[in-house]
Amino acid sequence: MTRYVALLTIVMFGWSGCAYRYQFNTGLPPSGERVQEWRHIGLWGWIGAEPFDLDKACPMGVSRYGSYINFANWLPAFITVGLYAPRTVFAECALATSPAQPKTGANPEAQR
Amino acid sequence: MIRVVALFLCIGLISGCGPYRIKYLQPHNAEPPAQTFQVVTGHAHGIGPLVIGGGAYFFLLQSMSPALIDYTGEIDTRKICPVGYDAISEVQHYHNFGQSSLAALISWVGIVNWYHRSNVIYQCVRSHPE
Repeated sequence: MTRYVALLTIVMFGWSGCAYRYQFNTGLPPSGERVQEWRHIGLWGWIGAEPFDLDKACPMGVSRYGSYINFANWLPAFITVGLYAPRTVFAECALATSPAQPKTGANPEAQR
Repeated sequence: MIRVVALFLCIGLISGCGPYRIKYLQPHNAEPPAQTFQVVTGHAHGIGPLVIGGGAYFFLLQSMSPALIDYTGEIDTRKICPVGYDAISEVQHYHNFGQSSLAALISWVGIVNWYHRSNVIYQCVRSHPE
């Protein structure tokens, strides 16, 4: 009985506390184009994800970006008890303002 | 029974979830080679509207809930870097060991995960060194 309780405890702790979302805004106006990709994460988050290159996702600049978990991410995490726990990353591209990609994301005062 | 409780607490301290580290790169902001300045901020997450119960039950419902609460809210990256740093070349979101353990313990002791903290590292870039 103790063995089962311990096992159940390990499984439940592996599942808890890992669901969240966050979002960043660069202040650039959105174009309506959205890029979404999965990031493959393993072993309850200990095996990390490949970086998300915002320059490749949005060559003309990025307006918003961030990460969340949806049902399609949740299902494999649930089935594998967190051994494989993918997340979705997204980028909302910015309106093209000039041929050259503007520097984005930080204090605009610095450019004055 | 005491052993079970002790095991429970130990696992709580060493578990939670891992770092879930995700990097967002904007390499064009780091060209030409520039001065950089690192800023670290905290980010807080919390319960969704359907959460009942803790542990695995929490995970099941919270993960499915599209209205999961982001206490900190959307971050305006224009307000992160100090004056003089005009771009961000890299943003990294992750949880450290203490944050993950605390989130797991809160979700068990408090029935739901009321508070779940993480870190964000910003690599600020000064493209015109003074």
